[in-house]
Amino acid sequence: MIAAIVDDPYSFGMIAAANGISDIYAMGGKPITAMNIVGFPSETMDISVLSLILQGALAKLNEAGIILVGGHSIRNDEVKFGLSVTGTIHPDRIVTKGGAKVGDRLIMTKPIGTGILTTALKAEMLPADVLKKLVAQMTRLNDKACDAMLEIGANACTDVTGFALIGHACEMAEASGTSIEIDSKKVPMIPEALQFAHMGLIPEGMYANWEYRAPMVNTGPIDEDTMSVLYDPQTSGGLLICVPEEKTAAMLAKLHEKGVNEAAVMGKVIESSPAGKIIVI
Amino acid sequence: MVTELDCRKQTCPLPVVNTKKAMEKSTDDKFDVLVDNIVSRDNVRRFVQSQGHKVEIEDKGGGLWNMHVTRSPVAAKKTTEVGSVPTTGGLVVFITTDQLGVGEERLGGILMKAFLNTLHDSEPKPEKIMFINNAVKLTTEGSDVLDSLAALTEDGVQIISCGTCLNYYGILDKLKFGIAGNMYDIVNNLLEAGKVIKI
Repeated sequence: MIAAIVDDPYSFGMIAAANGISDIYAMGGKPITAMNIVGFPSETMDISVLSLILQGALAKLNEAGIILVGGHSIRNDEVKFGLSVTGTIHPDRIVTKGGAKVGDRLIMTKPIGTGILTTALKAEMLPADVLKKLVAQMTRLNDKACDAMLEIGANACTDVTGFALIGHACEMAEASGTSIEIDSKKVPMIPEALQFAHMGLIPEGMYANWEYRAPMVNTGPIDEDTMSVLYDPQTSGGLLICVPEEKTAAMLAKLHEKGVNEAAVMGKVIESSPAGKIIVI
Repeated sequence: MVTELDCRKQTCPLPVVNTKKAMEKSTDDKFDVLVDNIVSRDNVRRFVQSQGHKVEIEDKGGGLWNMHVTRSPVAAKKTTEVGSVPTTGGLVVFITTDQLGVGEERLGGILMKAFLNTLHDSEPKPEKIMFINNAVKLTTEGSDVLDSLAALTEDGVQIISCGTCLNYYGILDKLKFGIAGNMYDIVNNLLEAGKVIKI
C-alpha cells in the first residue's frame, strides 16, 4: 500500500498497481488475481477521485491479464492504495533472493531515483517533462523483464522498492551467503535525480536506508549525491536480476529486445568473509 | 540583517522549499534556519551549498540545529531550477494559437502550416519556439505541422510546449517534439529573449 505520490489519481492508481504486481514478477511467477486495498478520506475528498484511482489500477490489471476479485476499504485521513496480488508458479521454478553465486552478474532493469524525484514534485520543482518521464517509468510493469529472465534463466531476483538498490542488494547478498559489488557508474539512474539530490530534495526514507545499511557497505570515493540515489527508496522500481556470467550478454539482449531498454549490467556477485557485504565502486 | 526561519516540525521537502523562498524574497545576506531533525538539517545544507552559499551548523543539542547561512555575493541571485531551459537572449517565437490570423478555421490551419514551413526555410532561425494554449495541438500527435517541426528541431531550434496546456487538453503523452515547459520556463524565456515574435 502506498501514499499518493503524484497528483493525478489515475496515474497514482496505475503506479500502485504496477508496484503491487511487481513482487510476483520478481519471483518469476504469473499473476492471476488481485484485491484492492483502499484507505480514503471520504468526508473531505470527492469520491470521484477514488473512482479514478481504481480505474487506473484496473487498466494495469487488464494489461497484466489479472482478474480483480474484490477488495477492502477503510476511511483514512490520507489517501492510501495498494493491491494484494496472487499468482502461480511451479515450486521448482521459483526465483528467490537466495540463489546468487560468486561470479554472477547483476542487471538492473529500470533507472533509480524515483524517491528523490517525487520529493522534488512535492516541492513543486519538478518540470512537467521530467514528471511525464517519471510517471511513465513508475507505471511500467515488470512483466517483460520477468519474461526475459525466465527465457534466459536467472540465479536470483528481487524487485527494488522502498529499501533502495543497496538495501535490496543487501538482502540478496545475505540470503545467498555472498557479497555484491555495485559499479555506481553503470547503475541506470534518472539523470535529474542526481541534480535534485544535490539540491537537498531527498526523502526521509533515503536517510533511514543509509543509516540502516551503512555498516554492511564499503564504498570507494563516491560523491554524496550518487550515494543518495543508491540509497533512494523506489516506488515501482525495476527487477534486480542475478544472472550467470556466461548468460549475461544474452539476458541483456533479450531484455532490450522486449523493450526493457534501460536495463544495464551494474554489478557482480563476489566472495567475501563475512558474507552479506556491499562494495560500491 | 539576519532573516530567521523556523523550520521545526516541518517534514521534507518543506524546509528546503521555505529556505529557497526566503532567500529569493529577501535581500538579506544572512539567514538563520532552525531545524529539528537530521533529514531537514542535511537537506537544507545540501540545498544551500548547491546554490553556492556558505553554511555553518550550530548544534543546539536535544535534536535542534541552527543553520547560519551566509549568502555568497558571487552565487547567482536566482536559484537554478533543474531541467529548466537556459535562457539565451536570442529570437523567440511565441505561438499562442493553432491558427494563423483571425478568420475561417480551415484557412487559419493552412496558414499556420505555411508559416512554420517558411520559418524553417528562412534565416535567421529562431532559437526557440514556445507553444501555449491550443497551440500545443501543433506539437502533438495528429498535428499537420510535425514535418516542419521535425526539420526545425534538426536545425537546432528548441521547441517548448506549455505543460499545463498539454495536461489541460489531455495530450501530455502525445507530445512529439521538444519538452513540456512550466510557466517559469515560459516567463523567463520571454523576459530574457533578445526579440519575441508573438503569433
